[in-house]
Amino acid sequence: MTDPLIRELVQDLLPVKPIPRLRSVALGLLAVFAGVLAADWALGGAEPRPFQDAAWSSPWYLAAVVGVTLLAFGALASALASAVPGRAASTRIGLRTAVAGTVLALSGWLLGLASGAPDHSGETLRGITSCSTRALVLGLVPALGCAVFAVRAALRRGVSTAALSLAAGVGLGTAAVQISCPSNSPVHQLVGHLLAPAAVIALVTVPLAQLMWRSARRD
Amino acid sequence: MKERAQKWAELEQGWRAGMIAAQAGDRAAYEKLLLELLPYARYRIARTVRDRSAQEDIVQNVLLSLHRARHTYRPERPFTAWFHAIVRNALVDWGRAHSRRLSREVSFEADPAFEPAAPPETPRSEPLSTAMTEALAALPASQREAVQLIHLEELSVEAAAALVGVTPGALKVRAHRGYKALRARLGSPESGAGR
Repeated sequence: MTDPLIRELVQDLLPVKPIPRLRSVALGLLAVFAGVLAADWALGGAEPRPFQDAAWSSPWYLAAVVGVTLLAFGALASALASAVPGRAASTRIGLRTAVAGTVLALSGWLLGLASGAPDHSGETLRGITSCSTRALVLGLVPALGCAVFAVRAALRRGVSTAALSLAAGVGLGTAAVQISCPSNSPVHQLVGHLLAPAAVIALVTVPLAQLMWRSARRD
Repeated sequence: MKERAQKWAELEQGWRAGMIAAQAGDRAAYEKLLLELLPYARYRIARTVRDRSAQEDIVQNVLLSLHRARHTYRPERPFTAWFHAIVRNALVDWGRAHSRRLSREVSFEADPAFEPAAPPETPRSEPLSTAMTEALAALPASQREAVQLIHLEELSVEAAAALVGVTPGALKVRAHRGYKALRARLGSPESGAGR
């Protein structure tokens, strides 16, 4: 049974172009994200806080910024590596980085809540929706880019790769929103920048995974 | 140890060249590569799965996966690690499917036990003693993996390190600690308890 299969595979052989280096793909996706961000600013989106802003000297705010950035980078590395055989270590390291980033960001926001300094009395659902929507929109292109790469490579775990792709894209979006959102409220940042986008990711992951599987089979 | 490393380095070089040629569409090189990989895949699978028909199914899945994922091999990366990951994934997939099947079926007969297929030119084809199997099982997972890959599956340190995702130095340290623990458990290395 195996010899005919080998003959069949040999007959079926067509030249293929090796996938690009994961580092190049990641840099490409980050460049695309930078382009989306530049377009957003050009169209009047909120720009980053000035360095003189008091928030930059606040440990909880910095922890949240670094945390969401680590989450995005780790998820990006893990999503890309998860679709390439022999890159289990990169997948694992990326995943650990993303988890550490999430923990750091959550700790930052909880620290902010515990310190009680920021005022969140004027927090509105509208403000939260606006920030979470912006994070999702900004992260859409890199998330889809990540998913397309996984489909083109060798998709293996649809749901986890879909979740990681979304986390990577939305994590980048969240990082951009985090440094540009004028609100100093940890409640707003926790809910609007992390929990609301995370809830959307949870809803979209399975449909995206199914779409990825269908595309991978068609390829 | 040096001879083994040399042998793996030669195989790695040949397989890597074969895969690069296959990616360029060279059918003869591809056929040669698949035929060369076949016994190694069979050997690796037979170490985990005893049922011969299942072994052959997994081997075929490995070949299909390799064919579908051939564009994911990058020439600057070790081929052996890439190939082992495909074999490992096929084993994991089979294990999951097998568990699902077992959970739904009631078997009236025990599975017939088969001797694992011996790979050609593989000096360590004799089965492990019970003492060695138990001693290996008692090792921490990272040390067990290092010992299995280097000592039992006879991968080169570089290929095994790439597969595990650590530096060759770190893998050597893990393997060394594993050997030390095995020696402590089994007695002196010359006693031959492991073989």
